[in-house]
Amino acid sequence: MKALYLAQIDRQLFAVDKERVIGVSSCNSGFFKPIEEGGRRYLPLPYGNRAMICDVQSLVTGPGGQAPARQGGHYLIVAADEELMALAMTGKGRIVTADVAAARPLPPAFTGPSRMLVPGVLVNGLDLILLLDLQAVLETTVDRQVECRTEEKR
Amino acid sequence: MRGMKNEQQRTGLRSFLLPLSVKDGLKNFVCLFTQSQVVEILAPRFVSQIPGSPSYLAGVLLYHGSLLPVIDLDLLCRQQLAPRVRYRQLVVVRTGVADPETGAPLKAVVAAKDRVRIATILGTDLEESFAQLKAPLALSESNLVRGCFQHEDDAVTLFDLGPVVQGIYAAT
Repeated sequence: MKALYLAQIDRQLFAVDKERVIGVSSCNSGFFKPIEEGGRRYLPLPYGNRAMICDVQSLVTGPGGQAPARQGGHYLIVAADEELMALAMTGKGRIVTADVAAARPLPPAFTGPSRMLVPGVLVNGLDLILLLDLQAVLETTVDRQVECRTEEKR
Repeated sequence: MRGMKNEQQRTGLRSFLLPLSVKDGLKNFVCLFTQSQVVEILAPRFVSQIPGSPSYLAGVLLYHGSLLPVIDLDLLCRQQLAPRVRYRQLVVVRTGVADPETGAPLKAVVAAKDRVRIATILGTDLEESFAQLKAPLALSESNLVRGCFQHEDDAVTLFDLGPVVQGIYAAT
């Protein structure tokens, strides 16, 4: 059994390793307003730290998807391997314990990026909880931003 | 054996016709699934969308303890970004292929934006009125169309979903 942080993004449940969670910040608190630097959005944190804002919802629906942050949600601040990330989520999320070994892989139809982003799916009754690979989320977000900037230049 | 074939010709082949949004002139394109392919038709329910997946994969669905991919045939043919749509029905189908790793038969869920119709296609009808059609570019470009024929007012298309559920299609 492992402690996971359960986050709801839109209507979908995602889980990340609880040990990676630094904290939760309200999107509308006003204390920390996102800043833009080099085409990337960051959430300023105390002591000069900052977390790159990653919108998992846009990885699902494409660039046009509405981020939960705009709907009065929260940022889940987590540590990826080298950088801090702020995942926009709906609500505050909560800590749960789950048997991660029981996670199932995605069906074979899902290959490449989707398999990297979601290495496993936990089944909880009728709910599916998608386990997120934070490093993959960070890398995919950076790649998408580079793609968007290249398209804008064209 | 011959008796069975004659019986099928007389009674006809019960088929499920899933309307497609692909248009070619006045023809209405539908996707045909045979009775033996269709496992169940489900009412609309929440489909878990998977980040980073191609637009034609609408997500995953838990069906009798198994995770099944949900396929949007319209987006599979058009290869465009997924707009948020409500599906009216979800058709659980046998694809006839096996999981490359486990060898288990693979099922899939095909999302229908319009209600699936049930039609009985008689063998004699096919013999008399069968007219093979050329699939429109939107369909033929997917390389998943097995065939296309005219049946009454519909242009009936047969899809091979095997490469999609095995993950071979996404890699090409």
